[in-house]
Amino acid sequence: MTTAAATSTSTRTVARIGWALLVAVGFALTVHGVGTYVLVALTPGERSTGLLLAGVGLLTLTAAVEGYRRGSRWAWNATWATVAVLVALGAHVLLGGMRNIGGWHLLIAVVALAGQILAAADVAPRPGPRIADQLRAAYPIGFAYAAGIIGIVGGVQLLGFYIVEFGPLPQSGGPLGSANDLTGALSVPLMIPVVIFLGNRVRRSRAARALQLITIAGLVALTPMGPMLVYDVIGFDIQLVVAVPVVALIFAWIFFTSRWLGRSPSWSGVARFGGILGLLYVTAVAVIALSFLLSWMSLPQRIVMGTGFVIGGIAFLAVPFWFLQVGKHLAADG
Amino acid sequence: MTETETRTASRRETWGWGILVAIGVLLTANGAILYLFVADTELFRTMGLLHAGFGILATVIALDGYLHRTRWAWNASWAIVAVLAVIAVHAVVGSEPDVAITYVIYAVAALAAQLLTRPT
Repeated sequence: MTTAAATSTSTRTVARIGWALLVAVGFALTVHGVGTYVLVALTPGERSTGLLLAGVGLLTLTAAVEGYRRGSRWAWNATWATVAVLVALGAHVLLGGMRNIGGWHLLIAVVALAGQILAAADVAPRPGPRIADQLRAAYPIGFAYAAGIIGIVGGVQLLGFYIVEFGPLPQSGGPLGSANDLTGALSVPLMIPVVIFLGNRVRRSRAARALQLITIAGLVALTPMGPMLVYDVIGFDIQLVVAVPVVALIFAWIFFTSRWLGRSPSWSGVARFGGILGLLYVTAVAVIALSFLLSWMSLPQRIVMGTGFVIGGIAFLAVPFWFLQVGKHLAADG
Repeated sequence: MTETETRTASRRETWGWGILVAIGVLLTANGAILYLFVADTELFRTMGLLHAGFGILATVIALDGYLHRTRWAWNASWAIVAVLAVIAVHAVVGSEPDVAITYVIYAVAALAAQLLTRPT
């Protein structure tokens, strides 16, 4: 056997051990969930918890078995969710004072993490070039990346603001809200060159040109709103009046541009992502509208409206990732 | 299979996977809302976390199906349908009408999507 072949075999063996650990974690969670449901649970709530745990275990098991058999990258991506859930669950239960259960979950989380790291030895390679290589490229790749990265920073600030402000222990959001407003003043104008560049790539129909021009005008109008709000030049209501339609415009532009770009097979990834963003936004608006049919501030309305805002929030927070994907695609295109 | 049939099958699969992705996102959102805003006991918060975790796993698996049409994602999605169906039956038997209606809708939508995504 040659040295290269021996190295490849040992790498595959290490990865298989990792996947086997993940299979064991999936199996343990499934058995734990079923056991909780059948033997331990006394109340409907406890039984539901058992079912959900078994569900997480079953999905982990199927992903890990796929990884074990083929080293699939997406199976590996999926099992990261299991690690995250176990860490969150362990920390949550531990902080709640249940040391045995919390410790058990954290122990499984460590096993799952070890499995993830070992399995990474032989995961199928990611298609496309490395991000670091792509960042060297110039306009419009640089603008797409910059809009994406700064947008993600803004998203994290916004998320932090809402968690602090409306989370389990509500308190003043502090500087996070203002920081998000100022970050927005950076990320929004960075989108404009990308809108211009992609607008010139897609078909030059009148509708496409009109949407491009309106979107650019909206982005220009939105740019100073954040700083003006922070420095008390305008109120939140004025910012909202401008931001809501501009956000709708951004989603419309992303959706239609993605569709137009998707006519070229090489853009199919960007096109699908843009399509998902557009559909998520429309779903969010529809769910929020639906909530107004329910009794005002009743529990069902809060849940339905909250679901709408969460979906909209996910779509909003995902927009910078679309710009990142555009940058990545342009870099790969050369 | 003719080109038209292939295109129709592809569109059907796109819709099916799209619905499964949407179900995953909704399950995640439901779990997050339960944990952050609705739960008033430790048990409900734990349920919220597990719900969100199940939703994230379902979303990632369905996204692989949406983007790459992989056979394993289709097989794994049967587990999503099964778990949702079991929770629905559990809620129906346990006389929890609100929960039962929600999960029956989820389970039926997931099953319909699963059938749409069947590989050609």
